[in-house]
Amino acid sequence: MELNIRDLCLSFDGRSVLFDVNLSLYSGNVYCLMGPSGSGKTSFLKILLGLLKADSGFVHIPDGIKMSAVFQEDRLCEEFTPVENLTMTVPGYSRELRKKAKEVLLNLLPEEALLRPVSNLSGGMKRRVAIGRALFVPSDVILMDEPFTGLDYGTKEKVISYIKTCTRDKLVIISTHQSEDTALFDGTLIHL
Amino acid sequence: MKSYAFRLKRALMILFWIFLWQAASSALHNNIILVGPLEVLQSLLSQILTMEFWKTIAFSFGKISLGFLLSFIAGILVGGAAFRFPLLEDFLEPPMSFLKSVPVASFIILALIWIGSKNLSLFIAFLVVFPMIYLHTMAGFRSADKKLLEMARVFQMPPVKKLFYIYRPALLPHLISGCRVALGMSFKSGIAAEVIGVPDHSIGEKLYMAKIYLSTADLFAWTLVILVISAAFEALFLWLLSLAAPGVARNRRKGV
Repeated sequence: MELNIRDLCLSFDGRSVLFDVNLSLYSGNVYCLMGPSGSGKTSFLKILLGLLKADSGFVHIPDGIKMSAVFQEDRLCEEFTPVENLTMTVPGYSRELRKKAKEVLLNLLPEEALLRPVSNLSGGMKRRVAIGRALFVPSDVILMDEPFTGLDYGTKEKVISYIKTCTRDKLVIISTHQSEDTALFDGTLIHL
Repeated sequence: MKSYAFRLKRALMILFWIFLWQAASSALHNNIILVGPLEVLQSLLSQILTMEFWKTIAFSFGKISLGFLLSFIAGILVGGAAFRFPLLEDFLEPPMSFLKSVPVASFIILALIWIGSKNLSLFIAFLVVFPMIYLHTMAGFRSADKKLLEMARVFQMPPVKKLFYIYRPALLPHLISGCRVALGMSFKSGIAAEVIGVPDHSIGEKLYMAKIYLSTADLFAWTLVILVISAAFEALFLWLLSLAAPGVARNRRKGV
C-alpha cells in the first residue's frame, strides 16, 4: 500500500505552515516526522486523517484503507475504563472483544489500572491507553502525534518495542521532537 | 453525606417556621384567613384513612407523572432528532417559543375545550415539560466534546456506541438539571389544570371544593399532599436518572 502526498500547502493567518510537501509512504515502514514546534507536524497528520483541509495539493489514500491515530491530546472518554475505551471504537460487545482489548492493554499498563476509570489514571498511563486504542483498532495506517509525551525512557522503550511488534505490515507515521525515537523505531526520518 | 449538625439545624429551622405559623394562626384566631398547622394535620388525618383520599392521589399523581414521562421521552427523541437535523430545529423553533411564552392558564382553558377535563392535567404536564426537556436535550448534545467526536470519526466508531459513550455523558447533566425544574413545574401546572377543569376524584377538585366551602384547613392539607408526592416523585426520578450516569453500574457491582 502506498500513500502519496503531492504539493501539499497549508497556511494559517498568512503564515505558511506546510509548503510544497511531496512524499510517498509505504506499508511496513515507520516514518518519524521531525521539526520544531509550529513546523506543521500536527497539521500534516490532521490533513491525512481528513480533519483539516489543505490549501492546495492532494493526499492520495487508496480506497478502503483504515486509519487509526494517537492524537496530540489523549482524547479518551474519561468516565470509562481503559478496556471500554478500546472496545467502544469497534462494533460489537462480545467477551472476546474485551479479552482482546485487555491483552493489548496488559502490554502497556499494569493490570490494576485496567478496571479503573481513565480519569483516575496518571498522564503517562492515559497516553498508553491512547496508544493501545490505536493499536487495537484494525487499521492499515497508524498516525501518532507525539505519542510518548509523559513517558519515562524505560517505559518509552517498552512501548516502542510493543508498537513495533503490532505494526510490522502497517504504515506508521509518528511526529516527535526527539531524534532518538527514529533510531528506536528503525524508522525513516522526515523533516518538516 | 450531610452531617448530623446540618440536619439538626435544618430541622430546627423548619420547627421555628411551623411554630411561627401556629403563633400567627392563634393570634389571628380566624380559621378562614389562616389555619394553624395542628388543624391542617387534623384535616389530613381525618382523610388519610378514607379510600377517596388515596383514589384522589392516585388519579392526580397518575395523570401528571404519566404526562411528565411521556414528555420526557418525546422531548429527548425530538430534541435528538432536531440536533441531528438542523432543519427540524428551525421548523420547531416557533412552536417552542410559543409554548415557552404563552401563560399556562391560556393552554388550560383551550385544552379544556379540546379534550375535556379527564386528561387535562396529563396534557398540560406534557405541554409544560416538553419544551424544557427538548431544549436541555439539544444543549446536552451540543455540549459533547468536539475532540472526542473527531476521534469517533477517525476510528469510524459505531453510531450506537458514539451515542452511549460520548453523547450520553454530555447529555445527562443537562437532562438532570432540566428535569429538576420540569418535575416541579409538571405538578404545579397539572394541579392548576385540575383546579380549572375540576375532573372527578382529583386533587384539583379537592382544592376547588376547599375554595367553595372556605375550608382553609383542607386547602393546606391537600397542598401538603401535593408537596410530598411532587418531592417523592422528583427524588425517585432523579435517582433513576442518575443510574444512567457512566460508571454507576460499575460502582454498584463493586459495591462503591
